Amino acid sequence: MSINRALLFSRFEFNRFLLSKRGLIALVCYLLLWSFLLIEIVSRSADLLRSSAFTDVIYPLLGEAGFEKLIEWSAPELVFYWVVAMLSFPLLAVFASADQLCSDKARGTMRFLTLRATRFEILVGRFLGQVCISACFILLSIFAVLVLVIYNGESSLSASVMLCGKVFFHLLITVVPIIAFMTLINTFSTSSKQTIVYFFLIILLVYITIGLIETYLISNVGHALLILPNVNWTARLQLGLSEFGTWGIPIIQTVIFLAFAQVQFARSAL
Amino acid sequence: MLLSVENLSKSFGDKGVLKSINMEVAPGPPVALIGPNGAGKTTLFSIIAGFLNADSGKVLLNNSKLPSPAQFGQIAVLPQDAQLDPRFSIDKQLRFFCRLQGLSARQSEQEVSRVLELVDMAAERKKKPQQLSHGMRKRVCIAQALIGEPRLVLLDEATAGLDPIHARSIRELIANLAGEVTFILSSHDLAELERLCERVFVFSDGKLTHYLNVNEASDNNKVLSKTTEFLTLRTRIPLPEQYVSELEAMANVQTVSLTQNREYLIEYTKTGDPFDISLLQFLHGHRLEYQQIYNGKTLENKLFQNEMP
Repeated sequence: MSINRALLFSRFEFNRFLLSKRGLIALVCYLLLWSFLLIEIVSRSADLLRSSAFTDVIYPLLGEAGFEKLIEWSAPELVFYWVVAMLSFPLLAVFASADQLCSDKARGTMRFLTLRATRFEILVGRFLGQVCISACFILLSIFAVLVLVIYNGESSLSASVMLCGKVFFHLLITVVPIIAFMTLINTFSTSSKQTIVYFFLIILLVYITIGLIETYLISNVGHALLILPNVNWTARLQLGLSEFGTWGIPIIQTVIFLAFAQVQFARSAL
Repeated sequence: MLLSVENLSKSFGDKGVLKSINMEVAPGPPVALIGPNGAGKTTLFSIIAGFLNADSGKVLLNNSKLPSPAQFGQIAVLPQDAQLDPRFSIDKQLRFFCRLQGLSARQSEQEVSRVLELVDMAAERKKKPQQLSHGMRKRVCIAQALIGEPRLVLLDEATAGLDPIHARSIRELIANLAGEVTFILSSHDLAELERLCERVFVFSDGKLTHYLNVNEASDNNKVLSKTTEFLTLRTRIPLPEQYVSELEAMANVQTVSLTQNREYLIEYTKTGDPFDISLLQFLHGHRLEYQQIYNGKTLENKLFQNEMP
């Protein structure tokens, strides 16, 4: 595999999304949405979190619900940002990475590329490009929330920066397996819309099937859900996962999804 | 050998599209792949280019198995019906292809200018594919096949959909580059292939049925003596029966057969006297106008001689 060609693909993929009209519209919508969220929700919620009347009532409840690690954060803005980001970035990753390979395959553009690069280089390059796009979106929003934290001036800057770095890596590791799963679906779907439909369909079907098996046939097969990305979302939101659960499982999932994607992509006709 | 195809087979479901194809192409003048729709030409192109996996057999380029990263840039293809990304200018996309082929940013810029000039598209380089006509898009796709220094270029229906002027310029381009690059062309335009190609592989129903050399006048189905030759005569109007009989009665003429409307294949014995001069005198003497006298059989007649009336 040529690292240089894979990096050329990731750079082109990054440009393909962000420098195209569709990407620019997405970026503007994203900025507007986050401006609204930060100003109207995160900022006001942080004020609420700082009032002792509220915290005396709500903190014990949050602790009961498993959110005690979040309560310890020095900047309340980041707590609300974390919750909103954990809800929005996985969804954003699904929509942004829906067209990694499929439209190029359907249009025949992929043929021009496979004359000059291996399918593995294309696949890895496109995947990395999508990871960079998500990282870019996460960084933009984290930077904005950091500005908000500094503006409110009630938390220490260094602690906030450290916390923002931690949040960034946690969010990134949340979306990476989703992007890899979308890469896998891209190898057999024919359009971005179809990829998104397949994603939700697969998630739903696996959950229903495993639920039925667990109810009627074999108990304790919940671990089978690990074939899906982001399966332990609630525990991840509570920061309640072990080190292996936080970092190991998403990395293993990503490698497995990409390996299956490569097998399928290598044998598919272009 | 530049290209070797060994026992190549491919099926879609239970339909065999390629059946144990064996062929070899040495570097040299353009090669034609001919056959009816569904004969397997495009499938063969797709397997050579790596777009499809064969069920069995292999393809070798310079004795190395294809597809292989080592062969990137050595083999170029104009795929049938493939389109460039509509979101980017052709300049950006071709430069990206150059970069993938290992050229620097500056070299890529120059290479894109070179290949676009070859297909008369340099003025359109900043446009996006959807801003171009079908013919223009096709020329850009031909340009991408000429990036770098490919040894082998496969062109599938290269001039289909082009206007006559640009079809001609593409033919001239192929003829001019034929000394440096070996082209394999697939087309239904036999006149075009006849002009460009010396070597012809004929496919039918997934099989390579025969190989022809356009410059050889020999008949595949008959054992001919070394002195038997052919002329193909095209006239402005159909020849009256009496003139056909007179033609047949000319010295050294063996047979005269009507191959299609106003086209006659004359088989004659080569002697010291030039037969073509005698034929011209015959036509002039009878005030018969002709359109073309072709030395030998046309490619069409070579291919379809069994279906001749």
